Amino acid sequence: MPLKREQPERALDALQNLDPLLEHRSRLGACVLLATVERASFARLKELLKESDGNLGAHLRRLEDATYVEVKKEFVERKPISWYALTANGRTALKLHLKALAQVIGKPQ
Amino acid sequence: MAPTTPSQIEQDLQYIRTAVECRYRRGSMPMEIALLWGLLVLIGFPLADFAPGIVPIYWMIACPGGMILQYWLLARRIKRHGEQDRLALKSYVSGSVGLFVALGLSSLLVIKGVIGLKGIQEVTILLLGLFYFLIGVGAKNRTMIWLAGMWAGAYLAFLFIDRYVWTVFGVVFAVVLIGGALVERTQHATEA
Repeated sequence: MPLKREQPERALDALQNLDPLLEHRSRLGACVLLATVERASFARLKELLKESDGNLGAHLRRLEDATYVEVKKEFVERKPISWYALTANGRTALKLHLKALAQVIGKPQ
Repeated sequence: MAPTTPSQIEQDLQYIRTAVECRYRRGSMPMEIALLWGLLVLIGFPLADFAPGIVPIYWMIACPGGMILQYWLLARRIKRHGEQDRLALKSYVSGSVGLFVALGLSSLLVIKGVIGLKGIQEVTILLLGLFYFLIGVGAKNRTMIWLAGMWAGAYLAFLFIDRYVWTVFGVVFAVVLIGGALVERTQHATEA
């Protein structure tokens, strides 16, 4: 969608407000999915985002390092499961990033 | 690569939208729950035609028991699908409690002599139909909407027919419930 002409400066400002960590679609997708549920397992995120184990693991590690998500490991029916949840920090970052994205693509918030 | 143009951002948002839609698509009728209620209905509805005396006792046990078992099955299913969602379970409990409150309050109509037993049967059917319809619309679940339509059909049938309506309704209801869950399961398997 082309930028509205009367809004280029606002869109440029918004570009600077994008969170670099959430610019990758898999990391943004993981955060959006985690915002809709209390906790989601690694396997569930992988299934929904259609990512490989290695890629998703690396993306989630970056989000974990930035304290955007937290991980809890447990055994369910003798299988190890990593449960991911969005932290308050991650929720705030996601909200700000989505707000900036809406400005960039010129959609009402 | 970082998305810096609106079109790249739009593409990424489409990818995320697909993932989120895929998550909600799983909110269909679970097979184990369809089997649970199918069985309870298959036994319980014909009782009204063949042993009306034990109908209240049966449903006083089967209804709360079924609800509790359904809650447990739902929680287990959500966890097996790799999600923990207390909010979804809470909204399920709220809906069920709301239905029971409405049914309980409607019984006051009989106690106060406003309507008779036949009338309360019709009110109960309409409330259940509305309950199924709202769930069906909210969860975009076609089976539930079909079942709501069946409750409406049963409401009309009971106005004009007296014999074996509950038995016929019970069998058809169980078939639609279990059949609908089977169809949804097949559709999900194909989509996956």
